[in-house]
Amino acid sequence: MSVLYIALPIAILLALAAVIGFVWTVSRGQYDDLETPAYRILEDDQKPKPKEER
Amino acid sequence: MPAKTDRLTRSRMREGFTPLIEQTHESETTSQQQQGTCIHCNLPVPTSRQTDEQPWFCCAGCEVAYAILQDMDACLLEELNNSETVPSSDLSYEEMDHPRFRELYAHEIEPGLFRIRFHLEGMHCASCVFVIEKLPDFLPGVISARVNLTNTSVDLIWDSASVSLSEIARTLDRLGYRPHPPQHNDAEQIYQRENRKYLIRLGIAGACAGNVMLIAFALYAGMFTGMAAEHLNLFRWTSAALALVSIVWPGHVFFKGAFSAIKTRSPHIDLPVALGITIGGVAGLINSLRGTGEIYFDSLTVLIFLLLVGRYIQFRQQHRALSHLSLLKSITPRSARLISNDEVATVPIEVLKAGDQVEVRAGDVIPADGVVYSGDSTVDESILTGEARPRIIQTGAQVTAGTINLTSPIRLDIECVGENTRIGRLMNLVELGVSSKLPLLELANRIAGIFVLTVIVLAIVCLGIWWSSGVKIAVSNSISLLIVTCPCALGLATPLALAVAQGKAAKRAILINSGDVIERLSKPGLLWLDKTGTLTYGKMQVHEWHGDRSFFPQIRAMEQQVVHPIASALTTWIDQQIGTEKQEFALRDIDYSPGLGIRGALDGTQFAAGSETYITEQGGHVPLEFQQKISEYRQRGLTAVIVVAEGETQLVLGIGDDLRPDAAATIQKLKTEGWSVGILSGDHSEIVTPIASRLNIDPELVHAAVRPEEKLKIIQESTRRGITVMVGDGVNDSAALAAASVGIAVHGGAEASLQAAAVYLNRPGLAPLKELIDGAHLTNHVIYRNLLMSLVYNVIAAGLAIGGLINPLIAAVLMPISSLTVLILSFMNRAFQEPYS
Repeated sequence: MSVLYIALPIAILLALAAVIGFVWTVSRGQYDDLETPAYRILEDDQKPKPKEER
Repeated sequence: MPAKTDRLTRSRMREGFTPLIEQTHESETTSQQQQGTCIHCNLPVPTSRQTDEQPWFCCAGCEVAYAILQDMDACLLEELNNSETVPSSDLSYEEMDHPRFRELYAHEIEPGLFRIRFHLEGMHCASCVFVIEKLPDFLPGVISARVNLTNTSVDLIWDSASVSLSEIARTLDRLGYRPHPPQHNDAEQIYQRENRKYLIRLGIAGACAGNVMLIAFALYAGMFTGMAAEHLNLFRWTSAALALVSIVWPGHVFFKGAFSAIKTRSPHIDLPVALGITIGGVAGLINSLRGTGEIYFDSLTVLIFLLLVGRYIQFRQQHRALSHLSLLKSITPRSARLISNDEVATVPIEVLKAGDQVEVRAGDVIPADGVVYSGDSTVDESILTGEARPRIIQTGAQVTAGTINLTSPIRLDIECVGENTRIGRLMNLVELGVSSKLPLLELANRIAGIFVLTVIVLAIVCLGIWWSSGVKIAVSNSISLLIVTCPCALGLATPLALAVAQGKAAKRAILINSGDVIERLSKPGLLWLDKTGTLTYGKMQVHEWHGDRSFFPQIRAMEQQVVHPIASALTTWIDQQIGTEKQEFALRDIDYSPGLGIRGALDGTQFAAGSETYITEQGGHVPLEFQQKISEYRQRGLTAVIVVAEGETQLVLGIGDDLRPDAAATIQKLKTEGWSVGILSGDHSEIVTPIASRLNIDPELVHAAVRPEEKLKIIQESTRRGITVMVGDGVNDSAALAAASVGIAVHGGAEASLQAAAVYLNRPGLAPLKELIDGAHLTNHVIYRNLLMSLVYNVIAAGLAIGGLINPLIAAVLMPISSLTVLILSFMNRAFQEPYS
């Protein structure tokens, strides 16, 4: 019965968290460029080692 | 190049690799050209990159990435460093090392560390990202490089002590990505901010709508199965709270719109929306308080969300074709050769001021307006005037920024720079034209205005009719009316149909900048065509000749000495005619009179080639037979070049700019549909008139030798009288393109014209123009059908509501059905479909 009084606020809180997350990502500009990151992920991490030092 | 090719061949042999060069690709945009796909990424290869050597690559990035994947040698970095991919230009980028350039464009983040953003040409795939972001690995001094493919730019951080900016720019250029300095233009930033605001509003409205809908399901279920009052209240108040958030935050745009609609007394679609939201919200709130009756929060939140989606689509469409370079900068060069104390130094163009002296080499673009004080040359002013023939300039002549110095170096005294130059003022006119164009009151908005008033009146009437039956029934029926006649479909119909059409058109290489173009093209009007580049190819070609062909090699040898469109037309044409049998001659006493002709001795024989006046001046004799040919060529709009050997005429050639093959047919078709077609050209009337008569164009609508400012005036005048469409390609057209009701830039046009125009036809020829107009027709039909559908629906629904036959719940169920119908109809648009072959 009263489980609704707990479940509903939790659902709303979860939605709120998602909204806050979304707003945060938008204002950080994460949707400004939707193309490059998809390609960037294809790159290898291991850089060919320069011959000396580093 | 050889080292690279060797490496590729070597690796191919090692891998036992068979190149996929035979594979063809059905690409609409390059259907006429030879087909080929990139061996690395399978995208179509532009013709400019289709070299003799296989395999083909679509871009330098793929070429390098392919090499890297083929042999992961240890000396990879060295190879990358020394790799000589196709240099796209031989620019030195010296001016980037000038302190003023750094001051203007770069940003110092730490002492010695600078950040700059470059716009790059030719960046379009994964390999491009791959190669450019590897920049720090093979160019010491570059700290980081981050690519943004969406606006084709790169953010660079570099250490000024270990590498110069010009070196970085040269490397990028060598890799095939020509860098451009950023512009001081806020348009992009404003767009970005707006875009983020829209996204946030959409996100919140979506979250609210989703959650309220979930609760609504529970409430509807509770209607049938019964629900405890306390739970009913909990659900109602929760959805009331969510709806409040949705109304106050994302929904406030509608209230803002409604307020300004009231202030300006112009009915706007925001008005019924705001009214509906208010009434629904208040009624829902009252019913929540009372604990009985309908709450309308579910419909309200979904309505807000859907309308915002429609607006976002519209917003994105309007900004899709936003280009990245400012108009002026795309025409004038970025650097100039400043003369100070008899020394010539390359400086950024921003440094120039009136009173400075500059040198302009042959083939360079003139950086500023000024007066020639030394040197004789010819300039190509077609960018400004549309006149295809070069102008002769001597000491004391005025020259204009943006034009090209053709034959020999000149030195100038600068009079005006930047925005004060003639081209700068012209570009200001363009920008003014783009921004001051009054938006046509869209059909949907006009209808919505009437619609709002009608609905409000009807609601009051409904309230009055049912008043005697009790307040509760009267309010309930009025609310049913307001809900069932929700302008959702009306609001969504137009933008959606336009968005679908724009998407389809883009697939057919017709880029439509804003949706109202389609509405404006619905009825025939006045169509102005530019000649050079639009009706014609924009390139001089030999059309006909008469006389002795054995003199071809001599003409070729002589004309090769000159830089001039006619000369290059002659040499390329003769090369095709005589093929391999080229001969070498001993050239002596070559004398060139710019714009007139050339003479000289070849193996001891005196030759001259040029216009009729030039030949007679040189004492050449032109017999009657040839004179007839010359006047025949002139009648057809061709320039006659006469060749004499030892004073006797041997050969006449007719040179001109040829009509595009589909021009006549397209114009004919448009005329039968009721369009009036005219020509606006900067070229001489003796060139324009024959073409107009070949195309059957009314001589009253043919304007020749018009300057860009006059073109603008003609367009402005005819825009006042009705829908005016301007089709053009040059910079000289851009002000007119911006001022016309619909400006259409054709394939191969100058960048400024592309920005000023509302439509860009990215396929050669005029056939896409017909397709655009037909597509606009079909799309308008879809819009009308959509509006008609939602009006019919609304009339029936309103009748039912006034009759008290539906309660608010049924109204809420009926409402989205009309929207759905509109959605489906919009996607069934047949415009811009590939023709069946």
